[in-house]
Amino acid sequence: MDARTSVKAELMTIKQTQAFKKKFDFSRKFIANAGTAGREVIPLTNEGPFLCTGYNIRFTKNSTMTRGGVTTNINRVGVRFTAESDNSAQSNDYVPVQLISTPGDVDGVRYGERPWQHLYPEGDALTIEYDNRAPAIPAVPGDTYSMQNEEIEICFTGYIFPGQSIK
Amino acid sequence: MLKSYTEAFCQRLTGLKNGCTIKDAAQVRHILETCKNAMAKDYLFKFDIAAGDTVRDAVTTTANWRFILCGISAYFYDDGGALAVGDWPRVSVNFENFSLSSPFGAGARDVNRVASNLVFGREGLTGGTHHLEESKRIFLDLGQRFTTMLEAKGGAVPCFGAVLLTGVEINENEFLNYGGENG
Repeated sequence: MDARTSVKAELMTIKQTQAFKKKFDFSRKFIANAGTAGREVIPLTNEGPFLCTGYNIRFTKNSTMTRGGVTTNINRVGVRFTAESDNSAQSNDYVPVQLISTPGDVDGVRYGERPWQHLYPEGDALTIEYDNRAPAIPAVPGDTYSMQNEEIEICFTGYIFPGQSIK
Repeated sequence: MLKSYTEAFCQRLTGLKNGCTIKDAAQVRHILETCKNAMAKDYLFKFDIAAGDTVRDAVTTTANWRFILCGISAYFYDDGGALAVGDWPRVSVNFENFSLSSPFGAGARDVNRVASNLVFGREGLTGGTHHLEESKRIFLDLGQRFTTMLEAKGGAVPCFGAVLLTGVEINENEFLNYGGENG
């Protein structure tokens, strides 16, 4: 097989493969306002079901916690994902982004997505619930919090299966 | 870095790998049908422990779905890094209604025993108040309800944090099809 034939065969394979399955990212950047909880909704495509295989999160650390006179920048935002179609939460609580974010810190080294598998029907919506409130009771007596707006960016990566249906 | 266990497990379930070539629609249907019945799930436990105290928390997993524990990650803050190495919290996971196929049997399990290389290490932040680690090896258990027991060992200061149990929930019927306890 000469080089041209090889490339042609490769392209044909890609074309045929993408008829069944293709990579797709859904990304959303939002501001988690200080002291509030809210939600973001990402409409998914009608083209076919979306199989999320992982996500990547980056966040800012604008809020501060003061303990013993020492002030530290923190991010207390927690997130919880649901599929709009079944409204079934993918975690039992708001999970701190610092526990599941892949960069690990602001502008930190990225080491790829956090693998996470969830199948969404075509036309579904991916809901992000978030909470950026200070704890009702300080974790350690005397702690004080200054909650600030935090920028959160989440990229859900996975595959779309065009023409298929799981509804 | 933090290699996920759900990834490995889900790949085994579906044969899905990055960049794999799907040859026909039947393979697509197989993947979709499988993935409909196997979803990743997180269970978070937040804790706030006084010095030397013990706290317990419990969660009931989704009805008619089997939770397969694939990994644990955790962080905690102490009071300015005052806890010495070895005094950091120990986390025990106790499964109730555990599956007969559980390799661990009944009773509370110290995470350091279940996953011997899960160590709460300090992660590079100055002041040493942030601790994050994740088990480095896959271990599986099945349960419809589980309890975590969190213990503060030694130390003279309170600490707080969170433990995240990551796993896959499998539809009960599919679980049996995969060769579950009654399958």
